[in-house]
Amino acid sequence: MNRDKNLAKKRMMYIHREDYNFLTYNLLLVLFVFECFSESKSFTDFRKIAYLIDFISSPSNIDTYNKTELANIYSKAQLKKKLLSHLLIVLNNKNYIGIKLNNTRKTLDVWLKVDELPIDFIDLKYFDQEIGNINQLKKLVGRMRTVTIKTVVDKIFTDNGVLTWEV
Amino acid sequence: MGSLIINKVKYFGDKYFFESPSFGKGINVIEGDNGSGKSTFLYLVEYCLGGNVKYFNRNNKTDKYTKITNDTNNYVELYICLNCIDYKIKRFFGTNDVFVDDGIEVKRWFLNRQSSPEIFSDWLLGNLDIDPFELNLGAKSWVFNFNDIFRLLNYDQDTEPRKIFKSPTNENFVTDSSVIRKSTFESLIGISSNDYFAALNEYNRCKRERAESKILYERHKELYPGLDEDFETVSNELEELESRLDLLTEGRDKYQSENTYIDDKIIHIEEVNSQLVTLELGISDIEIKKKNLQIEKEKIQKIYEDINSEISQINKIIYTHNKLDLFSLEICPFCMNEIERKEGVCICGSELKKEDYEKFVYQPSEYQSILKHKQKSLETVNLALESYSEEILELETELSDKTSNSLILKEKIKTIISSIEFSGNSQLIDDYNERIIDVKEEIVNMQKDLRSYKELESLENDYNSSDKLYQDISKKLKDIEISYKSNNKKMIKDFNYIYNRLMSESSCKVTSAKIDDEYMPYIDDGEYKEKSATVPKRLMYYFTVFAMGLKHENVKHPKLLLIDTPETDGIDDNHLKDNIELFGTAIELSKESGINKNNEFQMILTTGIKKYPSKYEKYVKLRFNTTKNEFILKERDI
Repeated sequence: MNRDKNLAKKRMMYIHREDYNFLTYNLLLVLFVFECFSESKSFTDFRKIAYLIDFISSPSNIDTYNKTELANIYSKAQLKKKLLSHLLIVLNNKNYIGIKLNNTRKTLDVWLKVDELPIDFIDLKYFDQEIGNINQLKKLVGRMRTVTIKTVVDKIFTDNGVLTWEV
Repeated sequence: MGSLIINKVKYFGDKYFFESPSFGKGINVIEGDNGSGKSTFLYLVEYCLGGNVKYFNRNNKTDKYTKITNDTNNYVELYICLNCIDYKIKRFFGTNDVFVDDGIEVKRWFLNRQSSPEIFSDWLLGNLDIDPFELNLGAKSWVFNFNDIFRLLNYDQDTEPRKIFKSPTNENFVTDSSVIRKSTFESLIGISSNDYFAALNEYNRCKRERAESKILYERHKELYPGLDEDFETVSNELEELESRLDLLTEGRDKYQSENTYIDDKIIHIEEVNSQLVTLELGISDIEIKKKNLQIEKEKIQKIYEDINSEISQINKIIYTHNKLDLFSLEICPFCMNEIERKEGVCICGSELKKEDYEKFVYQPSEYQSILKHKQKSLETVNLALESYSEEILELETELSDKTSNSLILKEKIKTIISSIEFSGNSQLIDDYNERIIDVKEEIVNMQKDLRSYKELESLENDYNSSDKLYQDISKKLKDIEISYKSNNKKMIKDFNYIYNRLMSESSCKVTSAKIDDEYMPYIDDGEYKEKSATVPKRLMYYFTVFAMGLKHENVKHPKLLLIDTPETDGIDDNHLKDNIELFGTAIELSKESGINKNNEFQMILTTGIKKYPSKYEKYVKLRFNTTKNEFILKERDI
C-alpha cells in the first residue's frame, strides 16, 4: 500500500524531460552526429547541449517555434546544465565519454567513446527523428561543435527576439 | 337677225382650180347643163361650211368626185359676209378643221366635238345669234349644229322631195328623228325657243341630278338598313358608351393601383423571410459552435501529439536505461562499487527523507508504469478527440441541412416575387379589359353608324335641294312652255298662211295647205297629188321658212337659200319656172306684216340652161356648158 503510494508519488513527480536517461541519449546522439569521437574532436563546452535537447526530442520542426515557446525552452535549459554536469560525471565513470578541461576557453569539452558503448545502442532507425533534428540544428548554427555558447544562444534565441542573459 | 351671204367660192388644188365671180345680195343664178358642175358648186359651199359631202370623201368607193379626191393639196375657200362682217373660210379636203380669217388673224376651228369642246359650228351659230343647245334623247346626247339648220337652207337634189328636210350629214335614227327635225324647225321659226331650250336643258339637268341623288340616297339606305333611329338618339348613346368606357378604365386602373393581391404576396414574403432569418441565425450559431469545437479539438490534438511524443521519448528513455544501465542503485554511480544500502538511507549514508527527494531515480518497472499511464491518458485524449470529431460532424450535417433549407426559402421568395410581376390578379384585370374592348368595339360601330347617319343626312339634303330645284325649274319650264307654245301657235298660224298662199299659187293648185304637229306639210286634207307635186310642196316649204326669217326679226334664219336644180320628179319646165318665180311672192308675203325691215338676203339657184324664169336672166352670174367644155374645175397649166 505504502509502496503503491510511493510509486504514485514518483510517477506524478516524473518529468521526462529532466530524466537522466532522456538527457543521456540526447547527449550521446549530439556527440555522435557531430562526430566527436576523440579528444582533438571534442565538443567544446557541454552547456551548449542543454539548449539543444528540447529541439532534438520534439517532433516539430525547428522553424515552427514561436517566441513564447523559445523563451520557455531557453529558461528550462538553465536547469538542464546542472543535470548535464552530473550526467557527465556518471558517463565519464562508465567510460562512455571523455571529458577535458579547456583552460584557454574555460570550458568542459566532451567526446564520445564509441567503442565503449553497447554495440547496438546507436540505432539510426530508432532515433531517426532525433538525428534529423540535430542535422537541422547543424545547418542553423554553423560550426556548432566549436563555437561559443553565446553564439549558439544568439543564433537560436536572441536573434528570434527572446530575452537572454549571460550565465 | 343674223345674215349669211356668200360672196365668192374658190377651189384650189395641185391639178385643178376654180374661182367664182363675186356674188351679191339678192338672187344669184348659176346656169349649166347636166354634169357641168352646178351641184358641185353647192357641195363646195356645204363642205366649206363644215358639212360632210360624201362625194368628197376619198374612202367612198362608189360615188366620188374623182377630180377632187384625186387632187392634192386642194382646198375650198369661201368669202362670206357674216352679220355684215367679212371672213374668209378655208377648208382643206380630207381634214376636219376650218380656218377662219377675219382679216386680222387666222383661227383654226375643229369640226368634231371629240377634238375640241368648242367647234366651228358654235362660232357660226354664235354669230347668227343662235344658242347651241343640247338635246338628250335617251342614252344619246345631241348638240344642235349648223349642219342641222343647213338642212332647211339648202334645197338639194339628193333628198327625196317628199321628205322635205335635206338628209342629215350623218344619217341615223337620231339625226333624222322627228324630234330633231322639230327642234331644227323650232330653232329657226320659234321665237322663244332659245329660252325654252335653255330651260329645258336646265330642267333635264336638274332631273338627272335629282335622280342621281335619289339613287345615292336610296342605295345608302339599302346599304345601312338599320338606320331607323334618329341622329340624336345615336349621338346620346355614343356619349353614354364613352362615359361607360371612362368608368371601366378608371375601375381597372384603380384596382391595379390598390393591388390587394400584391399585399397578400408581401405578407407571404415576410413570412418566408422571417423563417429564413431564423434559419440563418441558427446557421451562424452552429458555425460559431463548430468553430469553437474545432479550436478545442485542435488543442486536444496538440495534447494528444505531446503525449504521443512523450510516450515515444519514454520508450527511448527505457531503451537507454536498459542499454546503458547508468543508474542501478546497487552500484555507486561514481565509484561503480556494489552498495549495500540500508532502508531509508542514501548511498552516501545520509538519512533519506522521502518528501525531500530532489531527484528520483527510476526503476524499469516504474518507467513501465509511467508509460502505461501515459498510454491510458493517450486513449482518454483520443476518446475526447473522437467525441469532438463526432460533435463537429453532427454540426456539419445540421449546417448543411439548414443551408439547403435556406436556399429553398430564398428560391421560394424569388418565385413569389416573380409571380407578382407576371400574374397580378390577372383574371379580374382580364375581365375589365374584355369589357373595355367590348365597349370600344361598340363605340367604333356607333361611330360608323353616326358617319352613315351624317352621310344619309347629307344625301337626303342633297336630294331635297335637288328636288326643290327640280320643282322650281319644272315650274319655270311649264311657264316658258306655255308662252312658247302660244307664241308657236301664232308663228305656225303665220307659217301656214304664207305656205297656203304659196302652195295655192304653185303648180299643184291646192286648196288648203298647212303643217301638222310634226311641222310637216299637210295638203288638201291628205288627198293624193300627182308625183310632180312633191317638188313645189318642198320648195314652197323652203320659201316659207325663208319668208318667215325675213318677216320676223326674232326668227333666227340666216336669210340664205341655196337651191340646187329642182327639176326632178318629172316636173315640167314651165311649172318649174312658175314655182321658182314664187320666190318673189314669198318675199312680198314677208313684207305683209307692215314691219318695214331692211332685210338683206341671198338666194343662189343652180339650174339647167334656160330653166329659170326669164326675168331671172339678169341674175345669172355663172354659166357652165359641157358642150363648150366649160366645167366648174379647170386644169391648171403647169
